Amino acid sequence: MYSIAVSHLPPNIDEEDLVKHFARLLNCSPKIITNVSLAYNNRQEIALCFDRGALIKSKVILVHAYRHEVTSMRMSPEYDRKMREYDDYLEKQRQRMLAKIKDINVQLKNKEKLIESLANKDVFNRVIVAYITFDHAKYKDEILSIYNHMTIYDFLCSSKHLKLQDKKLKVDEAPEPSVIIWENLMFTRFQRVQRRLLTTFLVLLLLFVSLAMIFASKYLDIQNTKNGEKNNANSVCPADFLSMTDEEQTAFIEENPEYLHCYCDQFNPIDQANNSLCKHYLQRNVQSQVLIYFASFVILMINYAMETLLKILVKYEKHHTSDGMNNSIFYRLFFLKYINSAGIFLINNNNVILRSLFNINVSAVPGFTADWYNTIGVTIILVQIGDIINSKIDGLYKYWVYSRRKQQSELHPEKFLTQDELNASIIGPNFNFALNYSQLLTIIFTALTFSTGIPLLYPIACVNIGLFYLLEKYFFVKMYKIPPHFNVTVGNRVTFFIPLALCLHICMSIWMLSNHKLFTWSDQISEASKNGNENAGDGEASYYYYSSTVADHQFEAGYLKERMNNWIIIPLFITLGVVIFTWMSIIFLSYLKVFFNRVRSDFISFD
Amino acid sequence: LIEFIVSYSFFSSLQMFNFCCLCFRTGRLSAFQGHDNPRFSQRNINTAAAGTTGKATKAGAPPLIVHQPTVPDATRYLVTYTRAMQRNLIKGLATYNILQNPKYKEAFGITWKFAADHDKVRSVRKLKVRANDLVTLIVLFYDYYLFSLLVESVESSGRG
Repeated sequence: MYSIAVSHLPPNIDEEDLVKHFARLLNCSPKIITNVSLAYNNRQEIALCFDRGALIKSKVILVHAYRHEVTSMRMSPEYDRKMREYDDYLEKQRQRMLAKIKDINVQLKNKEKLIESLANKDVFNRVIVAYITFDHAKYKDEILSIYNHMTIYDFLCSSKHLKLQDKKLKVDEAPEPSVIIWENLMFTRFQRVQRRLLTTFLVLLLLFVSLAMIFASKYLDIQNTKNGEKNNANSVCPADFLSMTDEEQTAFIEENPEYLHCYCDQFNPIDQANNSLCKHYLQRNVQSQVLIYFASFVILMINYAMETLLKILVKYEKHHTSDGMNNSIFYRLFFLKYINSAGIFLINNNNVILRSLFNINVSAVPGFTADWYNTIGVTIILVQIGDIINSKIDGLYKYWVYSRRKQQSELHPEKFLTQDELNASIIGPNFNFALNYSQLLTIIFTALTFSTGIPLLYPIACVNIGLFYLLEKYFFVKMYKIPPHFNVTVGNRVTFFIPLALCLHICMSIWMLSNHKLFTWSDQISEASKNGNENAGDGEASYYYYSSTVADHQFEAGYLKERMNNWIIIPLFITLGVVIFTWMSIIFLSYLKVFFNRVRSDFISFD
Repeated sequence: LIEFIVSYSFFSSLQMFNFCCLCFRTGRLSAFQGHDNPRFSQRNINTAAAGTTGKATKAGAPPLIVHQPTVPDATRYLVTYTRAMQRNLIKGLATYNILQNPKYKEAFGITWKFAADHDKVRSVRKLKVRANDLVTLIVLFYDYYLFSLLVESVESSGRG
């Protein structure tokens, strides 16, 4: 609010030099700067201080443990009877405690010597960042304007006075003090990017596992179908099949096993199991269903694993602030979760990949067919339903651990040796708002991506978000710690992404609804059947006709053009245009506002 | 129409979530009581209820995600840092002294007084641990001594 962060500093700089430099720049008294805090290249020093603090704590705990033992033994009813025995035992314990304290003191001395030796080395005395606090916010704004709003003339000719000891400074608005991770400040941007790439790669490996599992399940499903009695669920049943007698149907199926589903689908699963013809058909169906459930379960598990892994790996990335850490988590987790929950199905939608990977002969189609809705559509719904539980399970587990610990502290306070331990038992976990934002955005994006074709995703998403809200609200009040003052970046990003979700929704709607077989009429079907589809029957068989013709549709020249030449999608194109135009206008106007404000402030400062 | 109603309802859920985030970011009760800004609570309730989106403006247009700065915008150009500190207007940590950061203070095992008197990590080694040891041991043996006296007096009174 009142502070700036100055980096790229000369090696031997102190507080006084900085105060003089900025007071001279502002042409004011040095009193306008109320505080200068320097961050050194002292990662090792901080680590040693952490170790030293841990040693001190262990010493305090040793003393308290001994005190507790003395008190409990002396207060015991048997003390009078076994006084000598107890006193001898306590004396032994005391000697043991003193020996341990002596040992800790030696370790402490060593740590202090190390800290002292580090303090004498020049490398560890190098200043990395200086946080300068002005007494008034206008001075901060002025300095930021001087350093960051330079014209080309300023940059080329008159930037000498901005340098400190011939070094060009980098000045930014300072982050909130509570979010700075001091031990990470020595890591340069390049080092952090390298680490981030490595962690992203590791998380991406999980995504590949997910993709491999989905493809494997689909491959097994296809193989399973092929190994059966040449059954093809897409074969259109003959128009007069239902009017045949049972014997006629059996004879027809024995002659044409590819129509087995027409026969078996008439029975319920129990009857299918008892029927010799349908037994294998039922078995294959059950196996397919299991594979679909398995794929959904894998996606949910990978989502959870990605979240957990990223939470662990983000510490390795050495962010300078908790804000940066949260931003990094939010972006990657949202994109990875979205790809895992929705993107994989879009990839999976196109069997070209499956065909090239496993060299199996399956039809490839870029559209959303009845097959797609029957298999992948079901998986998406299952994933979204599973996500209702999956997204809350971590919070619920944390709450269970927290309430159990709290209960222990209320029922058995004597188990906690120090007041600090007792206090720690009633402090809840951190509130990870970046994880929550990424979770919510993933739900919204996934729902809006497929909702045109699968409207059931709306109520599922609604229940998911509603429950998420209620639970998180409860945890806010009852469990989470009050978070530090984070900045607005993640919140602004979420606001920015929501119109993007709407655009994506409209684009997907255009693609799904432009399937000209979706809105079909009997005359069109008969016309199409005349044009070569032998299986196309009358209006009743439109579903089968739709699935088979579209499934066999290959990447033909003009396919895209044919799909886009559909009057049904014209309103959607108009809506998309309006949404994009409004969105862009809002962004443009906000930039225009910033520009005019800057011009206005420049004129005021010029005056 | 159904699509619109349902999507509107879950965007509203998101709004409610953001509102909740906001309340707890800015302090549990201050957001509801309008501790810093009398218009604050009403404005955010309106935001949650209306389900509108947009950027925060000085005119008070309700934003989708509100982040209250540590010192309100209107006052930060009127109040100096020194005065803001005195009036306790700055929420959270107001200093860039690493030793006063509760996380580091706790981990380094230092006292508030020590943190206020020093500003460099290497000063931590100046903290006299041995003196602390002595105090701890004195307290320990004093306790032990007092306890012995107490037990003896109880025993003697019992005998008496």
